[in-house]
Amino acid sequence: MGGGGSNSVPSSVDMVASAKNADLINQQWADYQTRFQPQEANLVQQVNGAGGLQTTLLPQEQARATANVNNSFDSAAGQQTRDMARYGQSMNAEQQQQLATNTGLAKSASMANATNTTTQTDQDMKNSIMSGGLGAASGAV
Amino acid sequence: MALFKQWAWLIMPHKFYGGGGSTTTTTTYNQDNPQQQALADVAQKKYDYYQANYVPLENQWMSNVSNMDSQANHDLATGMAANSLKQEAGAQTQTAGSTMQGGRMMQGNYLAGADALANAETRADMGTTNRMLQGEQGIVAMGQGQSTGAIEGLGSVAAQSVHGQNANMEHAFNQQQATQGIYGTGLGMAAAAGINKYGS
Repeated sequence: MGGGGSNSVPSSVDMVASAKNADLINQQWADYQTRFQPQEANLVQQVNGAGGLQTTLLPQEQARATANVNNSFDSAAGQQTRDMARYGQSMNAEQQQQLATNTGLAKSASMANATNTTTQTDQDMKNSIMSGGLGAASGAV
Repeated sequence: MALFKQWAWLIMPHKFYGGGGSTTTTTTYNQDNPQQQALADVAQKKYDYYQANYVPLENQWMSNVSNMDSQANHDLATGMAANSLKQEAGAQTQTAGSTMQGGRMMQGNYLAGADALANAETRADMGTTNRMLQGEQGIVAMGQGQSTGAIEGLGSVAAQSVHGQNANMEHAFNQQQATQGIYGTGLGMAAAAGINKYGS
């Protein structure tokens, strides 16, 4: 209720720059939470979701490696048959058996190599991300 | 209703009216100096510019990264790796002709070639996945205000996966030929004679 008088009353203290800066910080944080934090959570889940030494991506990588080996050797067998036919050659039963044995041995070795390579690469990727990417990110927060 | 109006003043908020008086002056005290105000204004303008110009690009990049692990990208990388491997190995007929001179009908070459191809494709697959993870790391770095770093191109991934595979294949083949050469000499001589006579 107004009394009389003609005093000059400080009704507000305005800190424009501080308020703007505070608002800007809030905007940046909201932007980070909306756009970047889900991506971070996704990466953490991919890298550490499986526990142990592997990432969650390993099973699908192993499936691809297995398919690569199978397809490569199937393709090679088909190519060999076509090439031999082109030269007018064919194999007898014994030769076919020997070829199957050799192919099986080579394919097994190749499969083991592909599986081991995939597993090792997956572990390397996990270690690299944990020590490099996410390590640096967590240090910056 | 009329009765209510008569007694309404008892329950309604009371109004007080100020007495007389001449002037009441309100003064706003701005505690920021002009430099601080300018800095705050510029910071907001920079952020608005970032939102308008960079955020759409960042969002597009995030979308691209999430697509890097798609089956189509894996197929593309393994396909490029396989093609590069075959180009480096040379034409199939030439390999066939040269192989027949030494031993069994290209048996070692086919198996070593299949192994090299599987190896190259598997490395291409892992390179594609690694590329996606690098992209995701870049996004995390972006979110932290850090630079994204260089992301390898898909072609580079495929080239790296091929590197050395042909050398491995030739080495394996040569080893096998050294073992089998004794048994295949007769057939090899006959085949070489045939090729020389009738052409390859």
